[in-house]
Amino acid sequence: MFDTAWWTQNVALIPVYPLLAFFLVVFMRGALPAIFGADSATWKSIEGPTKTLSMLATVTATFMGLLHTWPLVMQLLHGNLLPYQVNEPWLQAGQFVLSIGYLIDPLSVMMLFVVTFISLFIQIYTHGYMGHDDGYAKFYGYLALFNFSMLGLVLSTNLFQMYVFWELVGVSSYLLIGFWYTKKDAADASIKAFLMNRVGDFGLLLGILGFLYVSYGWWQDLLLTNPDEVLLSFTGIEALVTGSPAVLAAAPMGVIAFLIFMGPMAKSAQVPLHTWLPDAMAGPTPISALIHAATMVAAGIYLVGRVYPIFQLSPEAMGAVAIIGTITAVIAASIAFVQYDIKKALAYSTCSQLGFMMAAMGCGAFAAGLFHLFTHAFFKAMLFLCSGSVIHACEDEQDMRKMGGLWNKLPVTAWTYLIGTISISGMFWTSGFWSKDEILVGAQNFAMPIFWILAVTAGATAFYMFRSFFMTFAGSYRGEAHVHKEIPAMVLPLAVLAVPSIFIGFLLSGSPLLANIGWTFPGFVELITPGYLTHAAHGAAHHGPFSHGDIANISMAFGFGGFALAFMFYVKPLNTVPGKIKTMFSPLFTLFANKWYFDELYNNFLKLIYLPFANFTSRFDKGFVDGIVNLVGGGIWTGGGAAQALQSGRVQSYIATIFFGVVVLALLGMVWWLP
Amino acid sequence: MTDWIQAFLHTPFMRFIVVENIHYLLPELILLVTISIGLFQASGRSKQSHDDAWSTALWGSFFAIAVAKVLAFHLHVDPETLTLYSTPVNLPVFYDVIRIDLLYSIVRTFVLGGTFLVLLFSRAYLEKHSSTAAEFPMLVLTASLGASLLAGANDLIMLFVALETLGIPSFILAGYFRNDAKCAEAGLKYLLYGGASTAVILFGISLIYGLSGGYTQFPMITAKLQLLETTLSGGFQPVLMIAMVMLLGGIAFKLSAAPFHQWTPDVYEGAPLPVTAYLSVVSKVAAFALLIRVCANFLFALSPADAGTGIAVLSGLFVVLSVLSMILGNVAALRQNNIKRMMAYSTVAHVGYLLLGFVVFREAALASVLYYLLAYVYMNLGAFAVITLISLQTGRDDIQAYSGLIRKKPFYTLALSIFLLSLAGIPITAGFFAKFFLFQSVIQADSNTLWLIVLALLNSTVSLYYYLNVIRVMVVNEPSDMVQSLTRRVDAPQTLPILLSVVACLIGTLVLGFYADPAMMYTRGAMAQLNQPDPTSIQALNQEIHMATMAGDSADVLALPAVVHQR
Repeated sequence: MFDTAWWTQNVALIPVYPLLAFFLVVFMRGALPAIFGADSATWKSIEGPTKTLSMLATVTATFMGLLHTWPLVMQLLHGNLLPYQVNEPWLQAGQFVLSIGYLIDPLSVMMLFVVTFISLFIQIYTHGYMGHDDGYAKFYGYLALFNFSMLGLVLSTNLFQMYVFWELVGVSSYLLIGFWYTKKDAADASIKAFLMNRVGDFGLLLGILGFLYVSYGWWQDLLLTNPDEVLLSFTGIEALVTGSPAVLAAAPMGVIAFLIFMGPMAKSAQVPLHTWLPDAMAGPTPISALIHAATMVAAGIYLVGRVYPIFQLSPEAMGAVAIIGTITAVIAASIAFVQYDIKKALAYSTCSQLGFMMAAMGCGAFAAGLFHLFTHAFFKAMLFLCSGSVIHACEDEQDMRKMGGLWNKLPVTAWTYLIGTISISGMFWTSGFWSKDEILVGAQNFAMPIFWILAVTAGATAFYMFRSFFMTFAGSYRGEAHVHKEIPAMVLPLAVLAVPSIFIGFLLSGSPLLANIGWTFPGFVELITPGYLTHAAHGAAHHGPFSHGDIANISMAFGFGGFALAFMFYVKPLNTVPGKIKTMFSPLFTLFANKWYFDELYNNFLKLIYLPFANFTSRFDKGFVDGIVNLVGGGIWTGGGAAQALQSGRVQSYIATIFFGVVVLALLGMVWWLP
Repeated sequence: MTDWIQAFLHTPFMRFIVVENIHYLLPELILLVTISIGLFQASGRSKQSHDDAWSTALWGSFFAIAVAKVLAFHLHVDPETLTLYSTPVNLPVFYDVIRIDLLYSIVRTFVLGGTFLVLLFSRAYLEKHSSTAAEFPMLVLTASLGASLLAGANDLIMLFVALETLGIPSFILAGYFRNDAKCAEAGLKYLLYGGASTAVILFGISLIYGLSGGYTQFPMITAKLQLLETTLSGGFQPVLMIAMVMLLGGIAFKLSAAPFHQWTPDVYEGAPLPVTAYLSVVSKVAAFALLIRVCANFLFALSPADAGTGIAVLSGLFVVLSVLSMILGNVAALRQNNIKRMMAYSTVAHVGYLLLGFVVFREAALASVLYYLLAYVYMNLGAFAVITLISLQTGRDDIQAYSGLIRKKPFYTLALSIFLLSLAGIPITAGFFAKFFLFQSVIQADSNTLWLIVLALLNSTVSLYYYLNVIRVMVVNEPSDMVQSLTRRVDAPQTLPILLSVVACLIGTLVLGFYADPAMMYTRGAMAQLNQPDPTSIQALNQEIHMATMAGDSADVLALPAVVHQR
């Protein structure tokens, strides 16, 4: 039964596991207290077990997903993964059919692995982190829902289906960020995240509809000749763009691609729609790890990867993606310099790394961007979980100025944090090193300024990451709170995630050295690059000024530079050197500390332009439009009275109406029938 | 063992049954047996005998729906192509008095399913009104027997008998609490109004009988009418049109389409709640099936040229009925304080939407009508089930009694809100797709209907007001004293069947709202089958042609077979 094909053909089960877990949690925590009564003795006696069962169900579901993904990953590595997709019509209106289904190809298998693997360990960690929270079971329910949405998104076969799951991801992230909804900042952050994403989704929907509009005739022909294809499928998009760009020659593909890009811009926190991401840190730390590493922000990059052919049609759109990615990398890194909240610093680092990935996509280095997404998922999840461990140990203290000297008190956390820091800085052949190198290679093939900016930013990454490391773990303890010990359920995921954080980049780097250790599988770039890109990628591999080795040296040099600066500033007693720097560059420092005034910009836009306009339209609406509506409503209301008056209650008049009605209808029929 | 079965199947009796296709009527036969047994049991005096009769009725209707489902969705599988509906299952039963086709099979499941759900939630209500006798389910089952046969009627006599088998128990049911003045009034009004409309329908039937020269089976009448069309130079017969108007008027009474709707609010308000639910769903579904069949047979089967005139005239009449029903139903529902009356007018409005499908009499539009009916069974019965639940605990039917219900009965509130939103056509409910498919297929069939669709959409907007009003009262208002006195405890065991039907309807409403396609496939299949040329009528027609040429009536009859195939 469980032969090779079984895993592929039943891959739809992967999102079903967490969905079932979600329903189970909802049933146990929602329906059971209603059935037995929340105060009843029966409920009291089973309340505890349902909590544990909620956790077990969710973790098991994710674990089953991981188990189910594993054979697919093996097939991918051994090169015998067959692309496979199944579609079922979901909504038919005449010729117009929307479908749902599932799609297996290297890209989706890679994402399935990342999502299930990271989620599993985050869920185990959650048991430790949220153990004493009242909403423990509810939290697991939300986690399962989030997992379902993300896995559904990964397996989508067409843009419509992906849009559905895209929105589901948005909704479940809203639930999770605002999990502690009684805290004002968490509630605000969840609304902010949702609204920012609405802005992006609006663009995405317009882009999808625009794309459909310019290519609808082509799709109709395709569906006639190929009954297995469905409207807006990713395979169809690929065929359209690689096969017959003439159809799209007259269309404004740049505009369409940019509109589509607005979705990822919000989901993957690219400037200027990035401001929700740091605020989302108000959610519980496992959520920060999940959103930042494996699920939500990855969705944006994944979407760009899925509709990559559309971007390739328009050099302007590619350029815009590259530039926006680069700007995001720079701005977020600069803000990260001056953050004192450990989670905020990590949040901006995520934002910056997402900029790297997006820049790589824009530069045409498709596989490099996804490679960085892949490696980043492991070490960023680990870093966030480390920060959670620190915060948990310091009794919910998040300010790094009140930490320090935790190296001995939290040994596992400190070691794994160090590994994560080295990896994200791209040093010493850790995972981050390999993927960042690929991005730099792609950047130098595209444009040298972007290459240099990204290389410097890589150095900046090393600086702010080591800064947070030193502030937290080096020196002596500056806080007042008693430092707790590490909890096993929290330490175990850290230790497990440390392994891929170090090695997975090297194993998938495709380096010739790998043959020496008996690792014969192809590299990530080779595995993931789709057929329509392979040729171009090979042609473009060597036309920058630097060789691969040079670039490795350059990025390593910048990394060491960043490390050295951080060491100089922060291992020495605080407030001497940084203080001087602060005064020297005070305008810049203020700019960074105020996050480049993006929030102020939006607030002022709302206050000075949007709200006055909204007030005006509101008055117009109340005075004029509502007037008309009320008039119509009043008319209908009066009509209702008249209609009631028709209802005399007298059966004689009722029966008279029958005969009268028949006669009138017959007369009408005669009149219409006569010429 | 197999030998035994073989021997049994080869007994003359069984062979007769299979050859005559009687086994396709198994659900009706089950109902018949149930009614017979149940009436014996119900004639006992002890409480035990009534309990037994109730269980007989419930189990009987359950088996009937189960068998009907199997017959509709499984036995029609073509073993070679494995398609579900393209098989030529168009079988005559009892000398073609009933025609087994997909339309019949599907509508039968709607009718029997609706009956089962209604029975589930009627017992507690009746006992609350101290009516413990078990005639009630037998009357309901008898009416359903008629409704079910009505969907398959292929003969004028059968049509009339089935219509009356549905009608007469309904009159009794509407006045079931004969000591309650309002209820008795409802029963009497329904009887008088029904009698008058039966007279009209009978007149129409006799005109058609006369026109056809003495045939009662639909295909024969169709063939004869077609022959008349071509042999007589008069073309489309005005008498046929008047006969159709009469039939239409009679069916419009059953449908409560305006202006034949006036009985509806009074009867719905006075009748016991389960009866109201039954009348608003089961009897409507059967009447719509009848309307589809009558139209398909008598008017749209005419030769293309004359059918054009016929369709245009009849479309015009449907436009009148539809527009009047939509506007009157929605506008009058706005100011109702009694939820039963409100639901009555809402039914009228929904009938108005459904009649849009008949304005363009096309396959896709009628398939959407059938789909709408399925959605309507779930959402309307669900709403009535919740209303019954609430009425059981508060004893009141006015909307004010629902104030602040969410505080005490969150599940009732949620369920009723979903059903009402579905009735209003809000997405991710069955009602949304029902409206969407219907409007979309109508406008696709004929773009001149744009104004009708716009009107229908405006009407749905109006309907939002009164549906949302109920939700507003339940959610926003402060709980009244009576609602305060309700407990949040789980309900008494006798309300469990009601909850069961609520949950079933909820699942139906939500699943259809999320994944509409499989159900649409069946309804499309039913309509495709209805449009296929009917071998029996072609044969009959050929006979007619033969006789006509023998008599030397006309020379141009030879062109006929081609015309028939174009159907």
